[in-house]
Amino acid sequence: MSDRTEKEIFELIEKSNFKQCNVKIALLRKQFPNSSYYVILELFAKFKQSPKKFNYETELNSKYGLQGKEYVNDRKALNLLHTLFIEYSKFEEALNVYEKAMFKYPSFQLAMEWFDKSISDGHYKYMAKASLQLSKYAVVGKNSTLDKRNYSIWYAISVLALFRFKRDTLTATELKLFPMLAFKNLEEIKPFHNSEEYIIYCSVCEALFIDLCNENNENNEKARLIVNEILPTLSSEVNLNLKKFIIKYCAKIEDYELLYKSSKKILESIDDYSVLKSFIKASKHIGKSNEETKKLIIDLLGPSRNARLAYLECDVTFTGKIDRDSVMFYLEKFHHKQCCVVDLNAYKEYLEVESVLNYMSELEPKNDIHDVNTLHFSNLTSNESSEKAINLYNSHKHTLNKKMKTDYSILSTSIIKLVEESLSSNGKNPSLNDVLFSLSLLENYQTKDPHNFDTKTWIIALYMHLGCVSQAYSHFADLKIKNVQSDIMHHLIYTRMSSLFPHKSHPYIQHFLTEKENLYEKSLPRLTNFIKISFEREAYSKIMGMLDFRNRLVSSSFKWLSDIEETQLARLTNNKRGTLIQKNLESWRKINMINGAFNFSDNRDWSRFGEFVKKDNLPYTFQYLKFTDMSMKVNFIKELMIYYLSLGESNSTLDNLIQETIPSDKLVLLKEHLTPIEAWSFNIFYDLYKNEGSSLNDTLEYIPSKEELSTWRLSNYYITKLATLKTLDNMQQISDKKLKESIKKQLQELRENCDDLYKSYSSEIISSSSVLSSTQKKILNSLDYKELKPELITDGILKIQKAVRDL
Amino acid sequence: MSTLDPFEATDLFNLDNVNLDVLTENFPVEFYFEYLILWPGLFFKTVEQTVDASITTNNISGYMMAKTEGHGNDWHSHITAVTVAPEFRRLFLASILCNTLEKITDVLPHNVNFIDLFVKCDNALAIKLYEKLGYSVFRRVVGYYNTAGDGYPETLKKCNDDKDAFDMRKGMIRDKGKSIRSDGRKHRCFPHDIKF
Ligand SMILES: CC(C)(COP(=O)(O)OP(=O)(O)OC[C@H]1O[C@@H](n2cnc3c(N)ncnc32)[C@H](O)[C@@H]1OP(=O)(O)O)[C@@H](O)C(=O)NCCC(=O)NCCS
Repeated sequence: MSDRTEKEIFELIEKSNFKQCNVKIALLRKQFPNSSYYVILELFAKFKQSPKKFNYETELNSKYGLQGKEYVNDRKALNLLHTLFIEYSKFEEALNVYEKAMFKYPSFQLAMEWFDKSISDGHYKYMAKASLQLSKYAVVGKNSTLDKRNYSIWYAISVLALFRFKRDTLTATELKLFPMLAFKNLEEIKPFHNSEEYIIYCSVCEALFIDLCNENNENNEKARLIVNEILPTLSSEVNLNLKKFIIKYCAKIEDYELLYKSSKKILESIDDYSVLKSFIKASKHIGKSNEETKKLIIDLLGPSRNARLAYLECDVTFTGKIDRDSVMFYLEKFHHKQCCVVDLNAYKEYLEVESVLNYMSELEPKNDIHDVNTLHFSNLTSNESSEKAINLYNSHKHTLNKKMKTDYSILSTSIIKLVEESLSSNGKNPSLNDVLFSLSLLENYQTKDPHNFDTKTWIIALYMHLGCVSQAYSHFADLKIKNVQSDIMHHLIYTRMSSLFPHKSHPYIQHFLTEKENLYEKSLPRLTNFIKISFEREAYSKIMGMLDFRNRLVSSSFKWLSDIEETQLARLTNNKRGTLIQKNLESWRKINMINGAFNFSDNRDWSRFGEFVKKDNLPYTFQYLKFTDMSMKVNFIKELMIYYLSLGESNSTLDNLIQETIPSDKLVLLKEHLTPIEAWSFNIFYDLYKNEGSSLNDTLEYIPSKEELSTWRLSNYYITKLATLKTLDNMQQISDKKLKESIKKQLQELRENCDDLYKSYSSEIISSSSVLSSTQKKILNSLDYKELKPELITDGILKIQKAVRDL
Repeated sequence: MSTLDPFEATDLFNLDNVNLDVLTENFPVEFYFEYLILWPGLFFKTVEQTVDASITTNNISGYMMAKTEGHGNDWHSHITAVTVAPEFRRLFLASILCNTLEKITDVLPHNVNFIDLFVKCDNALAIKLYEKLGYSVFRRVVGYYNTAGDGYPETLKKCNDDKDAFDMRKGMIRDKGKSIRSDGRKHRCFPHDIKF
């Protein structure tokens, strides 16, 4: 078949013009009766024409499935079969067709295609099997640029990936067999050519034997192999991977002479704390003294940070307590550096706070960092620490004017301390004036330290808490978030976007959609190819990390969240959703394929706000970010229910998903993972999908609580309710006239109320800002800060009011 | 206390402390992958072992991204990016990262002749850092940081500290001083002259 005809056929399928498409395929089948490709193409078209009528069992599974007897070896036919099986989430079958083809018509080319597809599907067992075939059929210079030895390493890496990511899919025999073969193959290709090969050898010994085996003898045997293999490389090259192996396994086999020699050798080249610790341990074991060891460390590294800190480690190792001189040796250089607190905290069980504070007091210069460090070591009550934070800020604020704009000041920690105090509000939920006061502190500070991203992210979160998305965005834009950062940072704004700021033409949404496309639609699909190139270019040590990275991005919870938000936004704004739903389903299938289950990888950065914000227990002002794995699943189910309701059909995939996810007593689950209005909305569609809306009459009414009428919750309440009623209004399934009228009436009332709701929230802001407490005012005055103008917030509220009023 | 570890692709999820910095570039994923694939040993990080992992996953305090390129006398390593998280600056970490690269590429299998890097002519801070480590200016690349709007430089006569880069080099012993020019700042070249 010419490429043109083929292209035409696929275009016809795409346009659902099956009449013409089938004529063309029939003609081709007549012309080439022996071509397996046209048989499969016909099957493919049949499936596309009517997936519901297509009989998976008889048409596909019985012939080409695991027990099927039909063999296909045509490249394009295999590819289509693969696609068909994936459509049914039959991931095993999709690749098994290659295995069967390989059995009947083995070739290097076919094995390579099998390998490629297996990387793409995250099917490591088939990657391993394909590598064995590659090594069998590779002829250098003829069909392969790589040698058989390379494919032995490919096999080993595939097995490593299999054990790391999908170990639970293995049988007891496979658990034994795969490692043994990986190890044997590597033994056979010795001597290794480069450090990348050594690393894989060590990784196999470690991950497939030592980490899995409880028997000490076998462990030690493999550990010894690692040590023996790497030891000679130490004198010729510096490799950070190999360094880790040698140190770890010299210690494991308790060969302290060797550990001492190797760590000393490494320290001659690099300044590394974990090697230093091993060096100290070995030094003690071979009978050196504390003093001797310390002197050697200085000879090797000079008085560096690691070396100075190592004095503390030496004391702990040799005497079990830390000497004053050692602490001073460290402090004299680092009492006024930011590492001081984290470094000394590592030894806190051997240090007395009082003594550290005494030592600190002896040291000069007492700059801003010195004072902040001192404050950290002091165990202060919250009142005391607020006061100290203010004093500290005031005594060093002149440095803010002197520093370079692109440098960061430590004084931000004082401001953040005050903000945390204000938002903690003695265990109660902070009031609007607590939030406005905090924003006053932060906004004032930001003008003096414009690039400080710690304070900036606080500002973004607090504006989002207030529901002022455009203000939050103006700060967010300064951070210039792009590429992979989008996956870890955009949740700060984009979480619940469809019910907080459904403003498609706003620069933020535009910016976000571009970044989303760049990362998930352009970069992500390329990664599989990059992984393949890593195999070919022998960047073996990086492959495991790359696979993990790809997998985590495929199943990223934020990616999922943003896809669902897009679908919800499309529903709210009456845009077509069919394609988006199909995209959601495809992502869902892909996650199942890569992870073996519908689980997400949460790559969002939850560390930005230090100890104040814990992902599993978000403080009040960060609740807008509460969007758990379950929230995502429930929202997905909701959109699917609405979609299939609109098609007037039920769907088995959806039914299974509901069964797996939603317990019979769903109220507790919904309360935990959704806001009250979101739970209400879910219940309505659930009732419609499952019970034909039998309780709709009773559940339609929703009276918001007082809490839902301010902060971000106002928009979340208003827009979710609006979107729900709008969707109901458009639903043909609802035929009861009275009910229909009631929906329309509620919708109208809600819209009429829009301005009043937002205006009343704005008035609340104005009155709250006018009643900042005297303490709050005093603090602002003492810092020479101005109160935040309430108009800044009310302008933001007005923007949303305008955006939602016409929905 | 810092440890030197190889950079892994998944570290890209934990770089906020370093990469939110205004002067640190965030490249597309493909760019990082290219470095991981082509120069797996020359992309590494410093990890702060004392940071409490239960509070933050961001314990990477800095990283080095480098490559090797060139032929014959020009065979060298190039520092593409070196950056340190603000809270761990002035602890010699950037220096440790540079020194480690030197130790790695001054021996087999690399055996480079010199190490080079580009730095904005007005970045006095970074220039000082590299000078302390033994680097010196080899030439000035006119218009290296020009944007599309600035266009390609037409002449070597016009200088702009904000747009030009210094090509700074440090020679290894086998380079026999070829990478050192006492009057390096006076030597100017176009961006196309620095392709290897
Ligand atoms: C430039 C940068 C990498 C320095 O990292 P660092 O770990 O703080 O550097 P070091 O501690 O090794 O500094 C060594 C010397 O460089 C000089 N130096 C580094 N930072 C300096 C600063 N902010 N101000 C003045 N001198 C500075 C000092 O002479 C310093 O020695 P000293 O501390 O004993 O006085 C870091 O500031 C950074 O990541 N900046 C953003 C990214 C960037 O600009 N990269 C370089 C692009 S070419």
